[in-house]
Amino acid sequence: MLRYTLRRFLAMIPTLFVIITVTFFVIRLVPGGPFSREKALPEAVLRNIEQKYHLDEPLWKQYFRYMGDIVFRLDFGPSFRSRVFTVNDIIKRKLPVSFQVGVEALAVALVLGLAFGLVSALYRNRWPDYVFTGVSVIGISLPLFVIASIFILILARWLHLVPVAGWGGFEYHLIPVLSLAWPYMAYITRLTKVGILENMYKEYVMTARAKGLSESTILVRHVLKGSLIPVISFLGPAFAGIVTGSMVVESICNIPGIGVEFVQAAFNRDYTVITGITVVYATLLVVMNFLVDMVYAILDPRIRYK
Amino acid sequence: MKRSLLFTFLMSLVLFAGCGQKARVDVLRYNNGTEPQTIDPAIMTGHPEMMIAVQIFEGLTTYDPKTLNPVPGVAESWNVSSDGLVWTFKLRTNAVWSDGTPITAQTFKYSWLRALDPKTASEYAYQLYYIKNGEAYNAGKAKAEDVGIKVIDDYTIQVTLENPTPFFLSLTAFPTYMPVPMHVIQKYGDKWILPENLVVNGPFKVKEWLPNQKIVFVKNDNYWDKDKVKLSQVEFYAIEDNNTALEKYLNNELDWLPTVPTDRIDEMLKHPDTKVAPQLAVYFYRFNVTDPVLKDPRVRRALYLSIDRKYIIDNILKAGQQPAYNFVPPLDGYTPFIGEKENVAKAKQLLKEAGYPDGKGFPTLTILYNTSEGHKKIAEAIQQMWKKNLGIDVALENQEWKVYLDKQAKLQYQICRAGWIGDYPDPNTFLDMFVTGGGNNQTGYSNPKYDELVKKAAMEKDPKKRMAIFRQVEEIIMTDLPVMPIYFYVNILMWKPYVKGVYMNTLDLHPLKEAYLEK
Repeated sequence: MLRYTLRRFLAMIPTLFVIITVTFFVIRLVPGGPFSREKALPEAVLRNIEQKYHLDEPLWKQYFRYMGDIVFRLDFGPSFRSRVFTVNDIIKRKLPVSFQVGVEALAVALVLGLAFGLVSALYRNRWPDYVFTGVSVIGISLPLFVIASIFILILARWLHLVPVAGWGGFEYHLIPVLSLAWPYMAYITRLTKVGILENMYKEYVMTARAKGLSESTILVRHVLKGSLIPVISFLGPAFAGIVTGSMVVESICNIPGIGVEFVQAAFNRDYTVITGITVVYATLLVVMNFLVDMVYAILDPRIRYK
Repeated sequence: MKRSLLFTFLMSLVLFAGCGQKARVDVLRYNNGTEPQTIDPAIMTGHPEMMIAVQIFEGLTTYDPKTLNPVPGVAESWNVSSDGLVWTFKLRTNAVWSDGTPITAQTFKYSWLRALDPKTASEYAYQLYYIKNGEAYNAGKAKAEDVGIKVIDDYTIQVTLENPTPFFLSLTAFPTYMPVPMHVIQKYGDKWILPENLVVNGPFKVKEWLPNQKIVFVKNDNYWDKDKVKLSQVEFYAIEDNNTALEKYLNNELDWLPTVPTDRIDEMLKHPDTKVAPQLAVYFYRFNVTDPVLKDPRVRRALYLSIDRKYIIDNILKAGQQPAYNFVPPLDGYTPFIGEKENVAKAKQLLKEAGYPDGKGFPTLTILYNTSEGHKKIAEAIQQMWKKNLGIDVALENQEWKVYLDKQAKLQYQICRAGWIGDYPDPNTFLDMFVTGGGNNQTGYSNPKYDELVKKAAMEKDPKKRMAIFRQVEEIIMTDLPVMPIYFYVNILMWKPYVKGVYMNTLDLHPLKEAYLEK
């Protein structure tokens, strides 16, 4: 097991190395650079800027300098847009914000989704089922920017419960968390409902019922356990997706998160920020994959010895 | 039990509602639209950064909030030599940094040389090229000592210019010319602009900086003219989404909105808070004059004559923009050279002379624009007009901003949408664009007479004669038509009726020194 773990762990390194290398070169192939401006810069000015950021050096040299900084100092360099904050500053400040919103949204989605799914299954083809199914369908079909706008309209503009947008105390979390949670909640509701219904009439449930166990015991002990497996497998990728931030929600709700930063960096051709955030995303995904593999390995000994 | 729960819920609603609507009396909340790239005045280039600079820094001169004409700032008086080349500024002795350190002539010399220093890598270093040897020093071809800045005594500084520059006093109010605290920079280096280190000399100072959220300014009690400063606190928000900002404004979470989202202009023009004012900016199309078809001036003129600017303004823009038949937006003290008005019959005739009667044999040209609903609508309207009036086909190509800039700079286009915002209220900022090989030319256009006149204008020290030369320059542009002016921009913004002491102006620049709230 230890050998397997080590091998899998070491395999992450070349993966990240390839991702950094590809990002580094591909982003530079896109037309336009970080310093192309509507008002053209005089040659002397451009030369000074290029010198400052070592953009005047041959590309291979820039690449090795960049790689060296990452490997030896975990330094992703200066941002080309911000003259104040480095890429490390930006990631350190913004990733936790997106992470927080994501985790809160996922928690809300999970709690509500499970509850709604359970109620829908128990009251199948009666009004609670129709209501929650309706809510789910809306959540899955509406684009995020519409959902967020609806929440802003109702909660902020009409009811004056919370501010329209911004970041700070609890009142600022409500709209983005609900907006992000809704589609996820919709999926979880559906998965839970279908899972429960599938298991409700399985033979082992029938047996439990025949033994005279109470309906609630059957539900909690036998049905729920089996029906949560699809929900759990959904949560894995959902987690990775949601904590890296949503460009749409962060932009509409004016949240200083990493999702919106990533998109803007691409528009600004802010090479170092793009590569830095890509590395963070990639690391997160690679680590999640690694963890999933480990869980599989624990569950299924055959994998370890392959 | 049920009732009491409901009651609690309703009570909490009421309490929450109370929080949301709480009005704060002496704080002005402005949406600056984005996180500033920097607040270092020597390095900044954008409008949001400039809006910050004019609140926390002050140059030798500063802007009158109404007219934006230069008025005394750190300098209390000045004079200029008869040849217009040597400016001597007398500094006031009570101007100090927010930590109490005096501001002297040495401070200005240091600040300007720092902005020009190649190591500083300031994008706007070229704003200081007007100073003798400024460009040479910035290009590494001269030493710092050669730059025409001389400290006469602690409170007198003398600047020698390359050419007589009548708008030099506007430049000394510009961020690149603002002083920076050398005692702080020497201590903290690049980190001097972080709020914990920052020392400023303007009416306000930075109390808090929450990146991508807001910057909070409070009154600077060490400012020499602090008695005139009325606001105790100003907040600049960094909301990028225009619709979100508008909702925040309508919900009384902002007092001032510098832009209205384009898809809601119709609706907001009816709002009593909305204000529209001309902007020092022109919307135009560039012609690539190296293109085999467009190199014929008759073709360019035919295209220029056959678009209906009024239609575009009334049906697409809808905010009272002015149609442009010349290149320089309306400007005090300058009489523009107005080109020909629309004339379809003449356009057809010109196209015929160029060898394309009724558009026959005319190849399909392409209009390049950066992706945006507004640019698209205008391009489509022009496409229709040329089809209808001249019988020619044009295709449209939209590109993401940086790709568009790249294609434009490399002349990889035939016709290209463009806009130009003046840096300072002087025709020069528009008319020196098309010099042969100039970085902002981007049309391939070259006319020795034009180049010569632009140079002549730069040397001319008599303001009247200078303006007359500019008029000739504009005449050449409107004759050769490397560009097709379409309209002059307006600013559409909103501020609450209780915001006082602020004025609409063509640069949309608002020093808030004397602003106040009347609630």
